Amino acid sequence: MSGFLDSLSANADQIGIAMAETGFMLAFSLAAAVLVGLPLGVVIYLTRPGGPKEHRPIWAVANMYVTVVRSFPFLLFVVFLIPLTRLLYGTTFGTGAATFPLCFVGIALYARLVEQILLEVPSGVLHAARSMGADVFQTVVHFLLVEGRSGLVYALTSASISLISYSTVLGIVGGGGLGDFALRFGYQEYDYPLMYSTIVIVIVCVLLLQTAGEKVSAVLDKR
Amino acid sequence: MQSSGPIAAFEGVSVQYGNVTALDEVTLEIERGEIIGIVGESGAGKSTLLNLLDAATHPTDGRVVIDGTDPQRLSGREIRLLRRRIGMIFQGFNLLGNRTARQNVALPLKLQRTQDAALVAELLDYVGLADRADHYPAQLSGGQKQRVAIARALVTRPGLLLADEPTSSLDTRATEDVLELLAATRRDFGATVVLVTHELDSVAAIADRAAVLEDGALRSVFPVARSAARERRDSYLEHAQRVLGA
Repeated sequence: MSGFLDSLSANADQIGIAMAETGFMLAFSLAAAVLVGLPLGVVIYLTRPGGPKEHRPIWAVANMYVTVVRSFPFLLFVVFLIPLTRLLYGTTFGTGAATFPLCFVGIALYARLVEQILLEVPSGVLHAARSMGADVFQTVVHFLLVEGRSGLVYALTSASISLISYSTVLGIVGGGGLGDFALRFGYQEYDYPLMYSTIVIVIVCVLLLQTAGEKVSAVLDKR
Repeated sequence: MQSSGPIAAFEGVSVQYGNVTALDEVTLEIERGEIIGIVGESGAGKSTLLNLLDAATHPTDGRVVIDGTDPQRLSGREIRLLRRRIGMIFQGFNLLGNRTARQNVALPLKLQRTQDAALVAELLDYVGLADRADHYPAQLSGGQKQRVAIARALVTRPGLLLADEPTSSLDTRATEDVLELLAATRRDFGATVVLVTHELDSVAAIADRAAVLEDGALRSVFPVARSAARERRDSYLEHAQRVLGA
């Protein structure tokens, strides 16, 4: 036990930096998930075959994006995106550039979860919206998102936990973060106590996130 | 709303879904200020008729006229404006579970970018739920939920109120409350009420006329006899005895 605490305290500064890097990557990819993934999920829901605003071409493109990104092995996806990353960031290396592929994944992950949550909103809610003369935007904002809100928060929690997991791969493009730290300073330096204690930190972070997500979701759910 | 002529008219209306004839040459006028019961078994065409009144379906043949206009000639935006002058209540209430009774009632106004807190409070009081205004639907009984839904439908002061099996998921007492409220709605707000249901008792209790649908065809339209049950409020025992013939 003392071995673990020693390695933790000896590396406290670097662990702090690694945590900040993970937090940075998570914050940006979650922002992308909410700002782009949420509308994308709504679009997939609305335009799906048999949906309230059926539109095959838009649905096919949006749905294809989500399917391809989600099925792409993430490590290869990061490599695949390198030319685009270089174009936009001027570099392919570092935490900022590494966040770029993670944003794509966050968008795809959350869009699919949003679609599934909206599919579970009772059809009576849509009937009510129609009978009140709501337009599409009002139907989404005043009905669907209101009734789906607890699920949307819960799904964002799941998405962020997946993103933490994905972020550990970003060490290969210098993204840093806790996963990369555990691998390089723990595993590759044969400092197993450091590796395990870093993993424990990750698990604790995930547990806290999960608990917070469940709490917020429960408070929002009045149904 | 216009002030003369029927509030809604079906002129030889047929609706086909593929090979299925949902409505077959229905001709019917709904008069302003009446309570009309549309009755029939499931599959008789009641829902199709209701969807036509809500401009959610259009006739394959014939013409529907709602308040002087043919919805089929309207743009999407004009149809939405038309729907805002028609109130609707549902079997499953269709309230938003994450909004309080007060917020649910205020919602149609919000969609029209207006608000009227006094009217919302007044309507909640009218349906007898002033003390439940800040409860969520999950905290209300079925009858109370339907009363909130009625207040929500009335908040835009509609000339036409469509009720889709409004009492089919309610117990006897709640059914009586809701029917009484619908009857009062006509009296106090001058609304025309279209009561679509398979429950003949409900139609007998409040409707002026009944239209009977069978296999998509309108078999008959006739005045509803004033039943004795209409004037009295049965206790549950009296109701059970009447129905069960004890």
